[in-house]
Parts: sequence; C-alpha cells; structure tokens
Amino acid sequence: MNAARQFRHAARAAAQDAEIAGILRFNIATYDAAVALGRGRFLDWREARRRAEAIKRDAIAQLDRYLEEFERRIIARGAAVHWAPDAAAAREIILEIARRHNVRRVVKSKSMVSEEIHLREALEQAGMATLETDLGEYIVQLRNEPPYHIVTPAMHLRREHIAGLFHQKLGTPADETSPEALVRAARREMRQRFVAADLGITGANFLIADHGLVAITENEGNARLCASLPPVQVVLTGIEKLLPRLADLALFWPLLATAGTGQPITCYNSLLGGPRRGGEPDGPRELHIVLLDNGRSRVLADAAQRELLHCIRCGACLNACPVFQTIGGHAYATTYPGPIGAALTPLLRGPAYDHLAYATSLCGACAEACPVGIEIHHQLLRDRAQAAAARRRPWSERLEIRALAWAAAKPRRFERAGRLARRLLRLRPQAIDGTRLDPLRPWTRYRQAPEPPPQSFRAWWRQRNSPPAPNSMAAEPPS
Amino acid sequence: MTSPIPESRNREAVLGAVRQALRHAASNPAERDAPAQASRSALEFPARGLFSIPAPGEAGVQRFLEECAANRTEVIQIGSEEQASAVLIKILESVMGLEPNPAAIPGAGPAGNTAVVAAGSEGLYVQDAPALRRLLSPLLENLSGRILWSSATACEENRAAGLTLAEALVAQTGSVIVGSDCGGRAASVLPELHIVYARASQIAPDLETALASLGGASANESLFDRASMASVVTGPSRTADIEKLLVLGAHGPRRLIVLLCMNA
Repeated sequence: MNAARQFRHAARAAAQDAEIAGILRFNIATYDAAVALGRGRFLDWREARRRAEAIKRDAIAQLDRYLEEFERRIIARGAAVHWAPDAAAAREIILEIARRHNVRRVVKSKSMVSEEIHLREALEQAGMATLETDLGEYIVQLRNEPPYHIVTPAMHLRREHIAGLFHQKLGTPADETSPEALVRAARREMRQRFVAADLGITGANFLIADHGLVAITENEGNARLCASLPPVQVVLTGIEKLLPRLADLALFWPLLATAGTGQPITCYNSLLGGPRRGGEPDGPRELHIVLLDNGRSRVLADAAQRELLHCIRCGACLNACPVFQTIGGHAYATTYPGPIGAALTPLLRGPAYDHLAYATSLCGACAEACPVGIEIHHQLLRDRAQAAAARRRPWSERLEIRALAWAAAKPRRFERAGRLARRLLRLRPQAIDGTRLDPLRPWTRYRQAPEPPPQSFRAWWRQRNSPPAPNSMAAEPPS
Repeated sequence: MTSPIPESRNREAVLGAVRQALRHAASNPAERDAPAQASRSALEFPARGLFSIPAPGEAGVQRFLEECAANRTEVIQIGSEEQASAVLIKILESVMGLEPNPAAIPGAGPAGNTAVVAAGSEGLYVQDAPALRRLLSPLLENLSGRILWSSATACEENRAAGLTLAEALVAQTGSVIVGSDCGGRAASVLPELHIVYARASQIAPDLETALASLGGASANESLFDRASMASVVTGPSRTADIEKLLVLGAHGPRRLIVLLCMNA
C-alpha cells in the first residue's frame, strides 16, 4: 500500500475512534489553558514572535557562517564535531563512535532527529541495548510504537494504559494507577540503566554560535543525566538549530516553554560547552556533536520554503490543528506529524508524501499558534499546488473544473447554473443519502447534506436592497 | 572491517550544500532577508521590554521568592552562617536519618537540632568550596565520614543529597544557575534532594542579565572557560507525561531547597 492510501486508512480509523478523541480533547484543552496563562506573562506576545522570527531569519540566512563559528568555538574546548549529509552517514558516525568505545548500553534523551534517522533501531541492530529515558518516550518504546506527538510522546494514553503496561513490563501492582507511583517505578528502573550506561545520546534545542554551546531544554532531568554519567556523549542535531548569540536564549527559552507546555520556562535549560574539564569530578571524557543535513539544505535553497527551518519543535501547531485533533499523531506515519510535519516531510522525504499537503483545512490556526511566525498554512497551500501540478488529475475533476470555469465566466450563466444546481439537489432522493448511489457521497458519507436554499445569495441580496414593500418584513437571509 | 569515516568530505558536502543553497536562494526575487537583517541588528537585547522585570534589590528578592513558590523551589531565608548550619542539620536529619546527638553544636539551639548519622544512611555530596566548608564545620563531627567532597570523588547514585553553591539566581523565573564547577554535573541532578547555598546579592533581575554574566564581559571571562556545563534550574525535576498531571522527581531531585543568605 502506498503512503497516501495508508494515510487515508489510518486517518479514517483514528477519526472514528471515540476513546482517542476524548483523550486528545482532554490533553489539548489542558494545554490550551496553560498556554493562555503562559502567554499572559509576556507583555507583548506578538512582538516576541516578531523578534524570534527576525532572529531565526538571520540565523538561517547566514547559516554557513554561524555553523562554522559554533564548530570552531566548541572544538576549542575539546568537543568533536561531525557532519552528516544524510541519515545513513549520521548513523554510521554514531555507530563508529560506539564501536570504538566498545559500547554495550546506551541511554538516550528525547530527540526528534534521532527518530528521523531511526537511530535506536540501528544501535540495537548493532547489539547495543538502547533506552529512551524521557518518560513519554520510554512508555512508547515499551509499547514498541513511535511517539504520538513531538513534545508529548504518550499523549494518546490514559493512566490505565500505562499502569497495565508497567504491570506487564516492570511488575508494578496491576491496580497501581497513581501517576506518582508509575513515575517512581520508571525512575527506579531507569536509574540502574543510567549508572551502567557506556554512551549517552541527547538532541539539542539550540546551538549557540557566539559561545559555541549546545542548549538542551527538558523538565525531567534525564538529558542532564545523559550528559553527566556516561563516559562518552553524543549530541545529534539538525543544522538548522543555530541561534547567533547566547543572549537570544533570554527570548527563546521562555518562548519555547510557553508554546510547548505553557510553562514560564522549562525546568532544566542546560548549556554544554564541551567534555569534562580537568579538575571536574564527572562528565563525559568525549563529547561528539553530529550535525545532520538530511534534506535541510534542499529546503534552504528555496527562499519561499526556507522559513520552515525556523521551526523550534514546540508542538504548538499540532495542538492547534483541527486535522491533528481529529486524526492524532500516528496516522501521519511521519517523524514530524501535524501541520509542520505535513509541510516539511514532502520536502525532506520526497513526493511519496505529497498527500500530506491535503492533510489541512488551510485554516491558519497553525500559523497563529507558531511562536516563530512560520506561515505554515501558506507553505501547505504551496505544497498542494506543487503536488497538483505534478500529476494529471482524473478526467471527471478536470471536466468539473472546466464546467465551473465556464459557468462562472458570465453573471447570467452563473445564475442559471445555480438555479439548475438547486433544482437538481432537490430532486436527489433522500433514500440515497450517503450511499454509493449518492453523487455527493464524499460529503454525505460523514455529514448531513444541507437543504438547498430557496434562492441564490445574489437574488436575496437584490431583494434585501430593493425598497421595502409596505407592510412587508425584511427578507431573511437564506439559511 | 570498518573503513574510516570520510569526515572532511562530509563536512565539505554539508557546508558546500548550505553555501550553494544560500547563493541559490539569494538570486531568487522572493528573497526577503535584506530587511530582516536590518531589524536583526536592532535586536541587541532580544528579550528587553517583553517581560515584567523587577528592579534590582528588594524587589528582585521579592520576585525571586514568588517565582520559587510557584515553581516549587523551597527557599529558606537565612540571617547568619550559624543559622544556616542549624537549618541545614534540621534538613539533613529528616533526609539522612540522622539521630539526635547530645554533643550540641554551638549556636544550633536546643539539643533536638543536633544529630549524628545513623548507621547505613547515605552520604551527603558536597561541592568542595570554602563557603560550604565553613557552613559544614559545626557539623563535621556529626557527619563524620558521611560527607563526600567533590574534590575527592564523583557524585554517585546512592547520595541522599547534593549541596552546592550557585553561579547566579534569576528573579524573573525563580531559577538557580549551577555550573559543573558547582561540584560537577551530577551533584545537582542525581540525588533526590538538591540544596543550594546562595546569597541574595546573587539574584539577577532577569534572564538577559544572568546570561550576560555567564557569557562574561569579554570572551575569556566566560563561565565556560572554567566549567564544561551549566544548567538553569527552575524548580525540582518534573513530568506531566501521564495525563498531563504534574509529578515531581521524574529523574532529578524531588526537592530543591535554596538556603538564601540575606546579608551579603
């Protein structure tokens, strides 16, 4: 089955799942309330977005310079910087580091880029036990499924699901469903793995050019443990994560936290300058930074698309999107779901994902939610135009469009066509509503067909604006 | 056998692709970067005017206390070093299973405030700094053998608490900034309890000021020339991955206590 058909099937199934719908509604409502409060802490949220956009635009417009500056400064403190043109190269670089150190056990913190290159699978195939240590990621790893959401990986699960999973995998009591006890059990289990790990892998939220720093944002402390306990650390990240200056974090840390969870600032914001220094009691002896391209420079080459590289992976557009709210995260079958994923995936992974340009209502809620002001719906519309131009539409659709163009070309024609259409709609027998005989089936399958109005809008408008006849009421608009 | 990675070729491939993409995009009429660069230069202080920031001094302390209350950092205001020692032993009694010790500690008040370490309890991991040596000196007898100094060993899994200084505090967010020179990287994240001994004069009004002080006035005054890592810590470790419910102590400390010395 190709990706487009698979998507349609998965989306349909998810949209009809009432339990998932309830869970998503609850999660997103909780998120919305927190974000509304969080935005209130900014004196001017729109100005914050404008500045963030300007800073990212500058960072991306001079990406080569900032990358080299970052590299030079962090190498000066003893880190190694590796460049990976694609996913295979990144995997090979990391496997090579792991083999050199005879790594058997890996602990990982949350990184969407590692999902993008299927790093965990590669490490496990090479015989290295690899543990996701972010609680949400740990839960979906135990369930053997990809993250559901880029910030909240286990968003689709209720505590009973997690309690059942932990009972089965960790031996917690079957009736133990309190979040405190479940978190406790996971912490205990993972602590042993942290202590025994030979390699820690983290992502990066930002790379700071002027000081040569890796900035990592988290709430749990697992990324800090990944950077503290194992003797070797790898940071895997995309080349677009650059910020020009350390000072920019005074804006981007609160911005990311507010858009991501509604927090004023995330619990832990860490800055890595290099491996352990002489005299320090702990920290990795080696720090490797892997900078991944994997299609990003292609996006960069198109001035109209490159603002997609401004994305800071906060997840706000997913929560705001009516399509995501209906079909959830797994139906997309992409590393990055939701509006930003729908816009980015066809560019990173090619025309097999063109159908995602249709996974949008083009309502613009994503752009409104985006803290760095990416006009995601415009990007999706552009992707859609490209997808449409790339292949021949079915004859029926071409005929329809041609007929519509002909009818709309002259006002008289348009009016007559409308009258004809209203009459035809009224002739449609109720009995075929939503069945395969119904020519309106794509619409009526899931919705009630509207009653055709008694008159056209234009007729109603003329009537409304003509001088009222004595004793007559103003005309009601057609419903 | 594995062949060596053609690292330099990879570097040129990625950087070359980026440069070519930038040239390509620059020749496109849709290019909108020129005005953006102009507005960027105006953003010397990206966060300025976006947040309500307390004035330095008293207001900063007040705001720090409020933000800490909101993010679940426990702040104990301290008047003198003796008082700090007394408060510290109280805390350690409860978390390390200390038992009352009749050999009273000077200035520690009634005998109930003093303690010895019970057999089998876990140790206290402490950043080796003069201020913390002074703070602990009245307790050395009681804690003998139970204090692990960062100069001697790394913080390990079974420590009851980590005691460190801070690089700076941030009023705007109620944050504590710890560097890896504050007893290493693990001292402030591995134990269930992290205790910070700090002075009110260390409170920076906002993130902008705090970040500037980390970066240093000039390139060679940066914190990162003496510490390999720093973390802005805002409350105890937490997660909301299960039904969006807040649980403290996810992977890091379940409690974060700041002993805040009011007279600088």
